[in-house]
Amino acid sequence: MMGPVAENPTSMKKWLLKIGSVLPVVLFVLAGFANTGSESTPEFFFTRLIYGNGGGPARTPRLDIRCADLAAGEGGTRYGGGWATDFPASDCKFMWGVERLTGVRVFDKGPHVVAAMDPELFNYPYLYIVEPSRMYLTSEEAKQIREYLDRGGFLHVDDFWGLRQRAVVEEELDKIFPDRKPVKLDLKHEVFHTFFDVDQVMQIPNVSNGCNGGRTWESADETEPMIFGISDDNNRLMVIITYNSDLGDAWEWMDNPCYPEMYSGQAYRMGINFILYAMSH
Amino acid sequence: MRMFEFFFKYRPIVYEKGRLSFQLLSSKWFFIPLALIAIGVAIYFYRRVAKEKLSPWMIVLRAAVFVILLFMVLQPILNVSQVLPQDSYMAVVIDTSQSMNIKDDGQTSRSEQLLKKVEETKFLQELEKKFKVRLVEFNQEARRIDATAELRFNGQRTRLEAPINLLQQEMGTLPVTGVVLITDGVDNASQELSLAINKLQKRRIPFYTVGVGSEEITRDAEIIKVTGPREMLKDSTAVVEVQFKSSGLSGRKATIDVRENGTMVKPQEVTLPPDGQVGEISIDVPVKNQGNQIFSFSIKVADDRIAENNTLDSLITVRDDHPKILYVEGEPRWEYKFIRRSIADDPNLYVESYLRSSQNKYYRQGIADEATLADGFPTKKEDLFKYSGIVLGSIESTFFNKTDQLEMIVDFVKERGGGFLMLGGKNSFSAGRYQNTPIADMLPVELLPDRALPVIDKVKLELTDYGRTHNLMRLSGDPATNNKIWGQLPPLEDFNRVGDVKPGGIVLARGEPENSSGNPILLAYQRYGRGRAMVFTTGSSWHWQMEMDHEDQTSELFWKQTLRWLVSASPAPVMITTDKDTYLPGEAVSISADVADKTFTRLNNARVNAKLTGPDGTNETLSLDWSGTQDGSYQTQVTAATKEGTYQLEVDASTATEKLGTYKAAFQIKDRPVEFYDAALDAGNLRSIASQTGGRYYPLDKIADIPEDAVYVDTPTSFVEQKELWDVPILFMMLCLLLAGEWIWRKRKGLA
Repeated sequence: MMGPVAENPTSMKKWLLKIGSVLPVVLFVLAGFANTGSESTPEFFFTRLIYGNGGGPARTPRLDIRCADLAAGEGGTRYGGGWATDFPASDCKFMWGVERLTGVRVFDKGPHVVAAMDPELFNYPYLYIVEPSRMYLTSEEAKQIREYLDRGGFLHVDDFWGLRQRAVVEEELDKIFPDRKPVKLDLKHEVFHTFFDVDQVMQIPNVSNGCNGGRTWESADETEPMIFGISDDNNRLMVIITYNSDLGDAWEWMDNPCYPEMYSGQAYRMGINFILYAMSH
Repeated sequence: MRMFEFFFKYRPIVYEKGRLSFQLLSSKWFFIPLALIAIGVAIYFYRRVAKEKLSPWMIVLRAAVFVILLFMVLQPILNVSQVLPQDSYMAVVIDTSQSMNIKDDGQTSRSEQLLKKVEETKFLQELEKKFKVRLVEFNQEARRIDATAELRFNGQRTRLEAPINLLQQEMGTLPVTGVVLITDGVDNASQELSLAINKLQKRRIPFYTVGVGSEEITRDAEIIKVTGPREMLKDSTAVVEVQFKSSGLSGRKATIDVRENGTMVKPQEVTLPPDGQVGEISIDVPVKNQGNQIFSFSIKVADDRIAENNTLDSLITVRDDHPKILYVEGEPRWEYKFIRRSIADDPNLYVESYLRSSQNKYYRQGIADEATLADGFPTKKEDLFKYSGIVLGSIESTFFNKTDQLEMIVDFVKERGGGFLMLGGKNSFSAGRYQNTPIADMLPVELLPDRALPVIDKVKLELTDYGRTHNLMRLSGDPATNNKIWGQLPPLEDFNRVGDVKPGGIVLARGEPENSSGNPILLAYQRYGRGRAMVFTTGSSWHWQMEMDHEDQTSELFWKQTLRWLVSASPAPVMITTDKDTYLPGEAVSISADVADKTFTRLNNARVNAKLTGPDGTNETLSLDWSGTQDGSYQTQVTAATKEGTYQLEVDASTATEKLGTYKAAFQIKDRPVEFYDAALDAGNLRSIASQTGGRYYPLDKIADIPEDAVYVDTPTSFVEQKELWDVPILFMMLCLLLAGEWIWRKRKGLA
């Protein structure tokens, strides 16, 4: 009499192995679609505006940079000047400081960039423009940035020196807001008191001037540091302009022994105040 | 009537009032055994007929013939009491209220129809042949008149008890045989009609009621009821519920015109419901002008025959108050910025915010002075209770660690009546460890037991059925447009998972996440004690601002409405109100006040006075007494004056040691043309009055029957007339039919 036929144990094992190898992948992928936020899910992205210089609207580049890869004391410009001045060191180091000193949940894993015509622009209500004298906005870019600011976005324009550069920047800003002019801000303005009390308009020099210990200005035709603002109809600042100062360098070289701490400190204080203002007004 | 008399010889009332007897029998009941004998005789006559030819119907027909013959032979009579001509009085009471001017057919008014009929039938002359007639006209009051020429149909009320009371007074000792009551039947002013009718019942005075008008109004649209808020914050939108109905205009388009103090605000199109049903619509009314504003709602449709019932008012007191909201935010985030921006230009909302910008640093905004919130979140009830609303952003429960601050927040809602809103965030709901805290009891949703951080996922907000009709979610007065606006909003980017809604909770919106499961609750609220508690489980509505055109005001409107709604029901420590906003002249006005101290502890020993100022500036002081049943509740009652207009009330409450506060309210006195509401002939009421008093109801075209019918009344001076019945035509006709029928049946069976 024949007994029951046993199943082939080897084929069962293979079947189980297949399931076992696929299942974790599936679960991992599926879980990834619906993310439960972590404590560090970022709220704030320090977003650098990519701009062109006359060759048509800029495009957001695909970058793969991690702040953790910065070498100790690294600064320099990996990607040339213009929008990429001080990039990515100033972005990373500034965000590390913001994270340490405030309750803002920043994105500090890497720098964050966007072009004006990128629809993603509106997901990041804080923008930073460096060396704006090299910027040339097309009319559609200007219109987009204006819309961005009218909706509630905030813009910090930094690092331009002297009358010639000032004229260029004013012309570019005029494209965005032909009906609003930058107005010099009094130190009583709320933006100087949102987190720190800033009681002086200190000139933040570039790294060379800072480390040399001599003059802090770059262009002799106008040397005084000034902070301008463009406000909306409800007197809320939309744009803050640090003229004859280089906050970007101060963040970038904050850990360079030769760069005076007082400039970096002031740059952090100002930058943090700007962020807190942007996130509360 | 004539047909009846043709067959039955006499009028129906003779049979109604008459008592049957037989001249050849001492008692009418002897007829029964005799009838049984007659039936037996019929059966006997058919005893020899073979069964197959016999039908029970032949026996029945033969028996019926014998019974009728027996009836006739026994000389039946009707004994009916009748008054002697001119021996008694008949009151003719005519309704002269405004509703008698209604033209049911669009051409002739009820009063014209009445007078014409009275003239045509010579009703009064015929009546005067038999009775001493007394004419009375009535509306809200009654008076004797001498002729119909004195009738003026301009009374503002119909009070049926008025003529009854007048008759009692003036004709109480006279022999009154009956009352002819001519009216359209709608009593809108009697207080004790049944008592009045009882008195006449005891005197056995029948009412012959005559119904004038149509039992159904054709072609009329009517505003039945208007329900609106009594108070609103300036620059809000009041949602007013308007009920309306129509007759004969079902399905037609009509317009409800909304006016503020006579000035057109907006038209609202409606579709008239089927006859007998009530239509209802919610109308958004912007309230922009401070003060006591009368909003009137008038329905307009072509062919409407009664215009007097087309308008009703709602009095809304528009306050230019500035309720304060305390917004505590645990971290700098975009939601905080954009919420503040959304309500920044709202002139009435004051938001004082306390932002934790770092672990030990706080940024205060919107504060009245440097001292405000300088020591952090209030630690005393009287400081916290100065606010009307509290909003908690992403702030964990352990932040509140001083002097039972969490309990105080709950008391703020439960006792003070404030509004509370918790927003989604990293430190909110279960993520903020609010489960197992007093706050969790207050929320309209259950909290998850474990700490659960927000889900990061695109999630589309979808209104629930309740949310679609709730005034908080109205971004447009038009429902279709409102749904479209909500549908077009960009998706949110996160939400906190919460548990089920609690039994008392209302869910206004849920989410449709892109990748997560379920339909998470996004917006819900519940009443909690005297206040309301709300949750908005996301922290990313700022995308509605940044991802839509800068001119789009959806986000602003949502937040203004939400925060206004949150504080709209927050009471003041001292408040006064009346039970209605509009009273008829002479109506009772119930005034009540709620009195508490600055910690909203309700007091029963306060001195509470109210100054009542009329439209002409005259005023009087009223004293309100503690109700005796409810803490802090004080009451009094006055009678509404006859002078129409808006009346102001200002309450002042104090104890022996401190002034508690003042508050203002208003009501209006306005005479409503009640005659034109529910103005159809109420024949049922008239039939009931007639039946209760032993009378009869007559439609107007049968009014001529009354003089003949009214004589048949049993009074002490009546005589009894005997009316023979043996020769009533119907009996002969029945005999012929029965005999013929029997013969036909017999023929069919071969017996004839």
